Amino acid sequence: MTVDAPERELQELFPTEVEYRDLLDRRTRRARLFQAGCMLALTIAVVALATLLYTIINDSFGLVAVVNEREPADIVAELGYDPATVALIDVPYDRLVGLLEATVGTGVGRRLEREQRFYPDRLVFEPQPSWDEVCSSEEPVPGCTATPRDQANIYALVQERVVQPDIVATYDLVPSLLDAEGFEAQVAAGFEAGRFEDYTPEQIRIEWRAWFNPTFLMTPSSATPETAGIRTAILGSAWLVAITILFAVPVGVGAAIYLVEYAKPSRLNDFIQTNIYNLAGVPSIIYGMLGLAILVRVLEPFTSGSVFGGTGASDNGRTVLSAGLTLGLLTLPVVIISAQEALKAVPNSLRQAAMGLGATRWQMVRSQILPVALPGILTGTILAVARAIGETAPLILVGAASFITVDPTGPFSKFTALPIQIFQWTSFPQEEFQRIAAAASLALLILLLVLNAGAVILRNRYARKA
Amino acid sequence: MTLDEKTESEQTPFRKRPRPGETMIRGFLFVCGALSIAITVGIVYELGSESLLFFQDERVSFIEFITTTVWQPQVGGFGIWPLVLGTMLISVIAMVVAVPVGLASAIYLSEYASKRVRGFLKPVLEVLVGIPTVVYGFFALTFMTPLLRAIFGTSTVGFFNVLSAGIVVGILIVPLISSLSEDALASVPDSLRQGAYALGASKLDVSLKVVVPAALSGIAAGFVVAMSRAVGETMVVTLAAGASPRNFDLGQDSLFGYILNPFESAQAMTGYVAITASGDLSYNTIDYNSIFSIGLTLFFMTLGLNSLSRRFVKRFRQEYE
Amino acid sequence: MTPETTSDTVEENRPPTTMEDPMEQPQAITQTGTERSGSVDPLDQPSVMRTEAMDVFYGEFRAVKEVSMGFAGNEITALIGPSGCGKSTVLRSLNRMNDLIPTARVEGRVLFHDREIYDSDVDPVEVRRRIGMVFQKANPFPKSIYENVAWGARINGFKGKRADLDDLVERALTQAALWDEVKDKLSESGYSLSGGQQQRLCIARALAPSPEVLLMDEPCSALDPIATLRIEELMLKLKERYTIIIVTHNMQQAGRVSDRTAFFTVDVNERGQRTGKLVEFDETDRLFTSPAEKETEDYITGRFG
Repeated sequence: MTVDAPERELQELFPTEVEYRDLLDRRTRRARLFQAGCMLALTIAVVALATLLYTIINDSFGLVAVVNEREPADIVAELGYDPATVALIDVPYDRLVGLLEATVGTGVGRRLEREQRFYPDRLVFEPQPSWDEVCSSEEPVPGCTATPRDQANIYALVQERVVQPDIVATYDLVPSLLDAEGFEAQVAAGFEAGRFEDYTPEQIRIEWRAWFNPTFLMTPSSATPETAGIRTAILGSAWLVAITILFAVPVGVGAAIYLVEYAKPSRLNDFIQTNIYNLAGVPSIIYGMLGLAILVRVLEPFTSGSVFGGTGASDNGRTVLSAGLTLGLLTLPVVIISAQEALKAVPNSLRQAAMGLGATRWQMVRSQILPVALPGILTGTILAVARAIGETAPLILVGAASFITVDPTGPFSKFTALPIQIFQWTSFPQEEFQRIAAAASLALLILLLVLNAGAVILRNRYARKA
Repeated sequence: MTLDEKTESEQTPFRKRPRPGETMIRGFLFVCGALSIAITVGIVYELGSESLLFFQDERVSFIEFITTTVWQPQVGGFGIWPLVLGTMLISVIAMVVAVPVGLASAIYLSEYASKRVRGFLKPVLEVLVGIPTVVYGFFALTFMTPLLRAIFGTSTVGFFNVLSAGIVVGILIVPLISSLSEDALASVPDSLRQGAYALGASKLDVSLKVVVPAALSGIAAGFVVAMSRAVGETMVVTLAAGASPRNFDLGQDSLFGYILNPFESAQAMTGYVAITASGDLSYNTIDYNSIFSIGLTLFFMTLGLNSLSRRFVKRFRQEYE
Repeated sequence: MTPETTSDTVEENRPPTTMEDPMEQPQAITQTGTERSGSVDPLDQPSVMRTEAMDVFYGEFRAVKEVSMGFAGNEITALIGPSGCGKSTVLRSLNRMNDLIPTARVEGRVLFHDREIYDSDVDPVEVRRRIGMVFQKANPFPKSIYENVAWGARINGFKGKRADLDDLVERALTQAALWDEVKDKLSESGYSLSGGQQQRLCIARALAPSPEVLLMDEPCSALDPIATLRIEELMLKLKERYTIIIVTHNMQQAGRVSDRTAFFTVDVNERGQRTGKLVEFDETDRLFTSPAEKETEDYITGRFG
């Protein structure tokens, strides 16, 4: 191979064999470091997720040191049942009401009854005439129209008023499993430090507590963390989701159909499309402000139900309806975009075949396009809804009630929602509130897991058919 | 039937028949689409008009709003910069966390991982973005803050601090960066990689010097989207960053000791709105109106970022499609 | 068709860990002139690269079987044959580009200056530095013309300063017959060139790190006849400096530019699997005028393929 002079100079500027070997080694080492770094990054992300889940589960179960005013087992025995086989929650409704009657004063009892009745057909604490008077007055109490209490409800009341558990110290799950004595030592140390002045060591029982348990899901909210549950929150969220879907899905799918099947390229349609992308990126709190300003305030006659003549549980616009519509507005862009994707995925050959046979556009859309795109649209909807369930900021703005124990009864009720409940409980410093916040978070995560898994299964099932 | 016997409409086919049903449906669908414009109009109008009321109040001036650095409504301080500072501190910390983690993960998934590993890890990352932000807030308060206080000492790290919120928001936005970056990296044609390998390049050379630069606008789009999300994040900052605006004085306060100190609390714009709204809020008070002016600022910030990101995406698509 | 390995002069007992510089190494004579069975016989002169009974598998599927051939220095060797006969696979095995496919596997020997390139201690990166490649469809980087050419040299440790790099880029573009057309727009994007120019850019890019061997995989198939002609002229000039191995489906092209030609075809076994095999390898003139194998003759005269 002949090499000219200037070329030889250039050749010499390339590394020699030895130099190249060194260079290659260094490059290989750097490459390995880089690859390790990338794997590390991925690991960090996975570890972060794992840590979050671990924290929540760790906080949701564990040992507690509790003092009961009256032990549930004693109460059950007093009522004449065998504590070994019958739990307090299983005691018949009437007996529990009777117990409550015997325990709380009339004033408290009337207040409870005005909040929510015990029986649909008879009153317990208040004489009928005064009840009727209150209910037909200008400002009737919630109990006049709310559905009566049920087993879970009365059990929660009994817990709160009769058993009156006071949890004085809590422990995480993993330490509870591995080092139970550590907790006892902690409690004992607490006594030394004078933290539990109101009680004597004998009163304190150390027992296992699952903050996240089926009763937790069925018990309404309460001021004391020991007896609080997330039923009101779950029902509130359910109402919200229903309203969101009822609004966002028809409108969203309709808009998507318009944009994909009907709209011809024009300035206006381009603008609509860009606008939708913009809306999808707007922070959720701004939707909250929109809801507050327009739905809650301006449209108050509609959203509070007063225009329909209902007396309503609330007299202002801070209702489930406002919140549901706000969430609907929030999820609308996302529903539109994912429905568009689903529609665009339908092969054009179908459209051409249908139109070629002389179908009108709507006929084509309704009988050819929609059935094919439906699974994709459904998946997108489920995912959008899953996102809406977790939204908190807009609900804060729109006025989710800070403390409410009554289940929502209709679109015009005051409400709370699962994320709101988590938010509030997290803001309180006491560790018991931290526990129920964790339990509620666990409930929310499980719910979302189910929804997302459903979406994935749906997508896979129909992808295989296609 | 002979030609004469057919009716007129049958004799002259292809004449347009009026179809009222079609028109109605089309109209309905158009309304659905146009509703989105109504939403935007609504947002801008509401934010704008309430902000106007806010600025018309005698205690507030627009100049004061955009130039002063004290936000203390009780004493009439209405400068927005402390809140913006809070938001930016948290967002920057979040990006510092999320960009390396997200981008490196994307490179690994796109260039190194086998299909099986990718099929497993991608959904795991997606889970991160599906967790409600309030749960992240809980996590920040109950895990991250105590951790930071254990590492750096309880005297350095406040109970509410910006670092904890920033890190958690960073974790939250990692999937945004990794997902968009990975899509961009995967769209780079394989022929480019082949050409590079044929020149004697190692995998590192190919990934960092050919593929990433080729995918740059797509990756940049991901960064901007993530930043926008961090700016608009509410629950984590409300729970973990505290409720006291970091009022400062550029002339007097130390830059790193106070103004940019990540260990102290600093309320963000979204945090202020959330706290104010969850308290007693009556219409037509100055507090009520103030949230809208903050909201307007936030709206423009995220709008700007999102438009920027879309421009990046368009440029990226132009190169490869 | 068994390869005639009378080569006890192949030095297998020396375990070199380096790819030694051929200038300092006495060339091992691998073959004496053997009888022309018209089969896979290596050369009657020292080879820069050769394969010995090379098989290439994709998973369980054998794409190419028992290829034994040698490539002479400063010559153009063409691989021709019908589609699916594995010629591209063979080409890509020569610079270990098949490594990029997870299921690919090579058995047999591939030797570059008597060094087995598939040895476990050989880094494929280094192999590709010495053996460059030009692809079927031009694939310049989304960088400037200058950067396209300079990049390969840079990552391979070019030590020169900016002025030296400028010289290198100019040299490579000149060798690729592109310099005059782009010398005033070196900072423009590689994509601003026409298809034929882009392919010449890719050739310049491949030449910049000074490889010894240049593999070209159907380099003209995406180009118009004029651009094709220019690249063929280029090849004839390049062989003065480099060893070129080209895959082409265009027989006439092989006839025009190559010194030696290898004809591959497809073998279909009982199960219907198609495996490529080398039929005949000879000097181009001889192969085209008086092929030894009937299959070769059938292909050349157009009776099939």
